[in-house]
Amino acid sequence: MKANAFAAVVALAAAAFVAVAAPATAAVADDPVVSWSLAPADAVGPDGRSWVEQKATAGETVTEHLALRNHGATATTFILTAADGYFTDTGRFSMLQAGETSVGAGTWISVADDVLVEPGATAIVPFTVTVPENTTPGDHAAGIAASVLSSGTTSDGTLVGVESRVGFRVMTQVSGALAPALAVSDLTGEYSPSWNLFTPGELTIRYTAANVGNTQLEFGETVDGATTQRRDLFPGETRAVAVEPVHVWPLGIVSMDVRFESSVPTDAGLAVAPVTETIVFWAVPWLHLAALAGVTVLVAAMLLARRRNKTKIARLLEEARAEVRREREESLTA
Amino acid sequence: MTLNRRAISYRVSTALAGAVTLSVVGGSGIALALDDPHGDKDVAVSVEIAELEGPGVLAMTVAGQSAALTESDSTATERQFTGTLPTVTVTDTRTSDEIPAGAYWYVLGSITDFSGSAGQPDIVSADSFGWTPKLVAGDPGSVSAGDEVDPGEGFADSEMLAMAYDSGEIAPEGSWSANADLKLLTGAAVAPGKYAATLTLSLFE
Repeated sequence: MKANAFAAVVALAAAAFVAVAAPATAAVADDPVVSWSLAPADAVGPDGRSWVEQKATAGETVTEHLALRNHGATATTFILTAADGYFTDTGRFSMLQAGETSVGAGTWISVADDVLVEPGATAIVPFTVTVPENTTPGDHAAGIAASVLSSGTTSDGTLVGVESRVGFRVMTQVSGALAPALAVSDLTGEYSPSWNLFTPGELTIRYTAANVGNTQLEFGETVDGATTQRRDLFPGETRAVAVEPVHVWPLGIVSMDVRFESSVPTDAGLAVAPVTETIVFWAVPWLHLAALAGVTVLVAAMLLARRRNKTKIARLLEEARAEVRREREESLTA
Repeated sequence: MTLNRRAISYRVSTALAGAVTLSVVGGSGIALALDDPHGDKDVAVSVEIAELEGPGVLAMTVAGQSAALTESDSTATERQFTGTLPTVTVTDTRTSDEIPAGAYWYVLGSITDFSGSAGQPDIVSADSFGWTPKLVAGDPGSVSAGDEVDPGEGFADSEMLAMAYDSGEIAPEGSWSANADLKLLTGAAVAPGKYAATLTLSLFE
């Protein structure tokens, strides 16, 4: 049992014979397979938390621990880093990369630079979160991670070093007045008519949500009776949202209500008043108008044709009558 | 009252993870049985596995720490370099009640620009770098690979490599692997030389 021992044991333990991780095929150097996990802990060991959520006052220092377990077959030095946390454009928590500079809660965390962990061992490493004096109340996001650095091998051509990190979020709520607030801007509705007379067109609503309060916010919008929950925003973050298109009949000028609701995941007791905005948009029934015009032209053509036929028949009748008259006159004179 | 970085002592408890009892009958090692699953079928192997001690873990396994990009299919106007990301495996040994409701894990990728080793101008990754993530092991119904990002599409901060739909629901499956085809596309006029970039993979939940 060598490099894949952990994965293999896990596969067995789960009584599921899934394919075990393929060995390195793309690695440039003979990098060892590294396998590790990181979780919040107390001074004794992992305590079952998935991430850290804590309350603190400005000026306070809180001591926490992380449990870093090496599941691999070789002793490995893991780099420990803390950085500002944020939600990506798609709403997934992440923390700043190695080359980026933290300015927020990431700078509050003090932790050892690195730690050497023997195979199969778990390192319990303390870290502190020191909230600076004068910190504004509310939620402050950071993350802490254990990473394995690129081996730094150089080769001819172009090399991509891969830094892999496993982390968890460290959320600190600084005591004081909490004021959750969601601001909605750039609310637009774009109507695209259907090419079928008998199906409604689609309205795509877009907006930008901004967390202008001081708490983490979860939010969502209700359009035409359908509510969609969006992923969370930290204070100061904004996100562009495109709502799943709704069906709307083209009835000229149409208005649609959009109701925005938000809540605070870190404090369920905090109520945030919902906001309703109305968008008004043109949904001109061009296709139906065109169809109407087409029908009109058709009917007119039919009427015209019928009138033409009438005249033609009248003329033919007249000609026939004249013929009869002529024949009668001819027979009389004969 | 910050801790002195050098003065921290660690408590390292050994052999916690190794708390698995494997008793093998039939004279054949378990490693043999695993390494050669299509071997002699007559060997009777019975395995008794004890519960892992302590709470389960969400672990990441990486098969390497670098990927070389080599030139392929370049044209008169463009130069293309391709490679493969080392396989990333996520293993979850937690029980469903150890996982917060609604939690889901994911692996994100971010990349720096490609910097030249001899002072030549950087290659901007947002303009030139792309990847095609692939799930190579695991049920695609429980974990999905991230979207393909073509070079020039603006490889942004934190693109998705792979994502679980619901950690708690899929945890019994146990293990999933993903990698990605990497592609760097530059103009023909790119300065020759060695370039290096760092791709950061992050496992969060």
